[in-house]
Order: sequence, then structure tokens, then C-alpha cells
Amino acid sequence: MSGSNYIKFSGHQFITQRLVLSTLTGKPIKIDKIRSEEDNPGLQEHEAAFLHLLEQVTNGSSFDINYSGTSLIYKPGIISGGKINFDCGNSRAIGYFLEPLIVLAPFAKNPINITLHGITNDNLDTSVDLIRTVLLPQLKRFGIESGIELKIVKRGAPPNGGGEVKFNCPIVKQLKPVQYIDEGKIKRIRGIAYATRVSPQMANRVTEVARSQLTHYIPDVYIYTDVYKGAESGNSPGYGLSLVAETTTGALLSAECCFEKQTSNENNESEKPVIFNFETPEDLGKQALKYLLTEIRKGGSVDTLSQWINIILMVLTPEDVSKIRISKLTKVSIQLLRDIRSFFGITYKIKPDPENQTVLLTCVGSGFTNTNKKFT
Amino acid sequence: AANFKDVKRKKNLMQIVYDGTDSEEEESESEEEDNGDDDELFVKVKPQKKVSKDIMDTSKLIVLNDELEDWSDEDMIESLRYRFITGDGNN
Repeated sequence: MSGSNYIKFSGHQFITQRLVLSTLTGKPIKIDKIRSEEDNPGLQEHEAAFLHLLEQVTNGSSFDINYSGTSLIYKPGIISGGKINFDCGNSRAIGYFLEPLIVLAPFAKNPINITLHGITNDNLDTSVDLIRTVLLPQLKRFGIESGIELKIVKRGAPPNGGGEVKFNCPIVKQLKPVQYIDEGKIKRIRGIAYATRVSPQMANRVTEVARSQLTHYIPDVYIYTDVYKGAESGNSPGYGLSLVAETTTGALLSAECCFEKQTSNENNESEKPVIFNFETPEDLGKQALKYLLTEIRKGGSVDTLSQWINIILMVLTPEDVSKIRISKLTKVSIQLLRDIRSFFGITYKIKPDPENQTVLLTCVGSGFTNTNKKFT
Repeated sequence: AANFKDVKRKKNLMQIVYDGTDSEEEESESEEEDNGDDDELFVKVKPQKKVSKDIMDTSKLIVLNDELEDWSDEDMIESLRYRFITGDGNN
């Protein structure tokens, strides 16, 4: 095979989305200049771990990594699925690994039944709570109706994790196109305040701040307090809050924050930054609330957190028009649109709606079908 | 939607998305500019780059504190009421 068969990329950014698109389309990729200019060159722990996960989820994939880890050639096999047990480590949270899996899982040969170990909540990656309450419900619109489940068995706060989740996903022949631009009005707000290896009072205090302000807008506010003890509480103390506003048309607008222990980073081996330092649970509650209100003001039928999954699922639908309304394209979404053009040759129509300062995203699906599973 | 108006004035969004360069390339270009004037014999030691959230691969958008609006302001709180079913809907 000549090198010209590869779709070429450079840099360490957006590696997981490119690996996912490559796996879905069966098109091999070559990524070079992976941190080649940096003191700590090459693939990092979490990226290497993701490759291991991909190896387990697929069958017949090949990975060629050069000596310094700065160049990667990936030839995707088929998405085999099945029962998998995987330790994500503590370099990145479970969300980093689980998010890409969500879009691969429906197109596997066998339904995926995976147990993931690691950090369940942090401020960098989407928490398992928002994956469960915001991302997964949106798969229904694309026709993945039943049998999708994410169970949080153990909480794992940073830095030492120790959490455990189980993810089950059914397989489908093809998705359904989605036309979903009516953002509706907010009818209720739900939340989850968790506490692990700290006093349950922390979760209560976080909840109180958020609830008292939100009931100012609407009476239907319920924040569930999820307290973990003993073997289910992971290796580090932590607490946090995720909030979801649900509209009359089923749009889900979300925000979250969690407590991060300040670690003395003496060897500086990780590039993972500490994003917040909350003095009190009340500070954390207020911050999560600010995020939610900002998200509500921005509007859209698809919130900022869910942009990428909707964008990627839209291109995987039959050859029909899909349309969604978002607030402002994130950097990740912009690159995802460019990468989708590289893999599928499909461009999206991106049209601002001046009326409420949102953006309408339209595309014609690629006619994607699950070729791994024999349907009778 | 903070940059929405600027965006609209300059180019349409499709051009920005599809005609723009990849973010990775933008970064390396600006680095080259920095070193452009230097004698090639002496490579300027780059200061240890502080890791910013911008270059982390994550779908979660991290907005720093100063980019968030001040939601303690009463008018600000009221300005959001129309997004709820309890609002009057005239907005």
C-alpha cells in the first residue's frame, strides 16, 4: 500500500475524534507531529490508553507508532463490540474514553457491554452524570430507542479515581435523520449533587445554593443527592453538582462543576491543569449555577456540551436532511466539521439565525449503515 | 453567541469554518514568527509553555470566570425569565 491512501493529519489535538471517524469510515489515517516540538514528545498516557481501548473494541485494527511516539498510522478494523473491561487510568476522566465510544457502539458487530474504571467526575471531561442524563437521551432522536444504559457503580473523584461505570448499547442497522430546531421553553430543572468520601453535608450545601436561585424562575426544581460510602466511594474525596434544564420540546441544557483537590505537582508529569479551586461548597454551587444560566441564555435545541455528538450522528444518518439549532460553534465542533468533510466529503450548511442569535446546522446524511452486523 | 455580531459582519460562518486553517497550523505559524528574526545558530529557548485549556482535547467547554456574566445582578436574572414557561412569552 502506498502512503497516499492515508488521510493525513498533524498534531496531538483532536486525536480521538479522528480515530473515531477513521474507525467509522474504515479509512486509514496517519497523524504526525504529535508534540514533536515539546519537551515531552509523542503520545501521552491518556492517548495511548485510548488506543488500547480502540484495540479492544475493534477487531483487525493495526496501530503503527514510531519510536518517539510522534507519529501514528492507524488502519481500522471492524467494530466488534462485546463484553469489555477497561481501566482508563487517572490521566483523564472516564468521559474522555466513553464519549467516543458512544458513537462507535451502535455500529458494532455485537452490542457493547463495557465496564470502565477511573475518574467519574472532573472539570475537564464530561462527567458520567451528564453523559447519562444529557448525551445518551439524545440518541433516541436518532432512533436508538431502548437498551441504552449507563450505570454508575462506584464514584471516582480526582486525583486517584477508583470509580466504575457500566455502559450497554444496542446495535442498529441505521440511524434516523433528525430535524430538531424548536428550542422550547424551560419547564423543569434536574440536578445531581454527589459526595464521596466527604460529609454528605457537602452535597446538601451545594444543592441549597443552586436550588434557592433556580426556584426563583420555576418551581419544578429537583436536585438529587447522591452520597457514596464504603466500597462504592473510590479512592479520593470529592463532591460536585451537575444541572440540566429541560424544555417543553425536550431540549437539554446542561452545566456542571466539581471539587478538585489541589495536588502538589512536584514532578509535573501531567499536563492536566487544575481548573477550579473552590473554597466552599457554596462557591461550587454558585459556579455551576452561573454556567447553567449562561447556557440557558445562549439557547439552542442542542446545548454546547452536546454539539459534537449531534454533529457526528447527523452525518451518519440515511441520505436525508438533518437540522439542529445550536448556540455558538465551539473550537472542537469547528474542527469536527472540517474533519467530517475530510472523511465523508460532506459539508454542513451553517446559517446564523439573527432572531435569537443561534446557529442552524443542516446536512444531508451520508447514507451510513452498520455493515458489521448481519441483519436478517 | 458573544462573537456572533462580529462574525456576521466579516464573513459568513461557512467560510469561517471551511475556509479557515486548522487550529494546529495557526499555532505553529505564530511560533515561527517569533523565531523568525533570530540567528539560526542560536535557537531561542522557548519558555516552558503553560498548559492552557485551549489545547486540551475535550468536548466540555471550559469558560473562565471572567468570561461569565455577573448573575448576581437583578436585571440580569430577570432578563432570562422569558426562556422559562413561567415567563410571559412576549419576548
